[in-house]
Amino acid sequence: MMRSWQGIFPLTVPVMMGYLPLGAVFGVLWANAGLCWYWAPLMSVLVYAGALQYLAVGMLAAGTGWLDLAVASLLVNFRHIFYGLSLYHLLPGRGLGRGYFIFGITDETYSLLSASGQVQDRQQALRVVFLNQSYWVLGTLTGVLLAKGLPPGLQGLDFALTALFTVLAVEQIRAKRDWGAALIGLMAALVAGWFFPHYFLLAASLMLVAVLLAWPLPGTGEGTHDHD
Amino acid sequence: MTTTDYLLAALIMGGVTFALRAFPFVARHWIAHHPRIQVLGQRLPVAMMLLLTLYAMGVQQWHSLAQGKAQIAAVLLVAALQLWRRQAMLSILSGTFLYLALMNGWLGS
Repeated sequence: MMRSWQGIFPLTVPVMMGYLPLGAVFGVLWANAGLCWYWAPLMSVLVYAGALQYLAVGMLAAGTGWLDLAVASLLVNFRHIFYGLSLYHLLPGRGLGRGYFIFGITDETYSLLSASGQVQDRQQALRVVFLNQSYWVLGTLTGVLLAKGLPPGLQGLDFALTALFTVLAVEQIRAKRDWGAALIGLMAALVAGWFFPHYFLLAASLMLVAVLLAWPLPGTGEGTHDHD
Repeated sequence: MTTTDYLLAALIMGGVTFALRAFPFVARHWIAHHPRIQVLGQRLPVAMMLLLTLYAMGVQQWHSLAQGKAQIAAVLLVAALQLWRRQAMLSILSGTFLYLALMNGWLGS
């Protein structure tokens, strides 16, 4: 039942293949923007939010105000407000582990943990969170130290993250057969991509949540009767 | 920027992000009385995974499908392999290899 660190590691390999290069790119961007180098890995330790960290490079270099930074954080990561809903069963009981688990629910970690059957208990989940953040911090450190260009052969290695999301999408659909939700997701992406390309993820996830909330509740059990 | 500035930036970004991630755990009792929110928790992952796949593909930056040829080909391979063999590492490695080959011109075009 219990999976050791060695047992957990293979699960996180796709995230590692994504986080190492993506973290490195963040480090390179950070260094090239003329920001203090050691704050790049510190950001990856203290903030740990990929898209927001990328965005913050430009904002900090330009001396953007604190309120703008707070609003940007809210907008970019707003979708995270719903991630925990699918992770109650993995939340550690108490203490530091509990706080750290919540802290570490990134897109990729959420994807791994919410995939049915991949991770079964709280300790495994916490290890997945820790391994994933380690990759992100390690990548950042590498990037900020190298600063000048990654080997060109690595061009496109971050596709592993796209592939991971694809696999998890296939598995989610296979497990739940929820074609309605899948279709709503595609429609939200289409509308957001067309009208709000610069706020794609925010716009699409807000539409998604709004439509899913407004959707008539299915009946209990087989869902044949509607009581809405 | 001073050290205080960096620290403040990290606290603002980290604080807001943590608060967002903690919300469903803090508001668990409230959520327990709202079946709609629970249904959302069950249905969201399916749609969100599709959304994140499209976002990672960079569809929001495409002006035509041709721009995403390599992405589309590789994602289709991953999805097909996953449906067929159901081995995540096989699907991911094959798709990533195809994408690297297409992006770095290993296939000679």
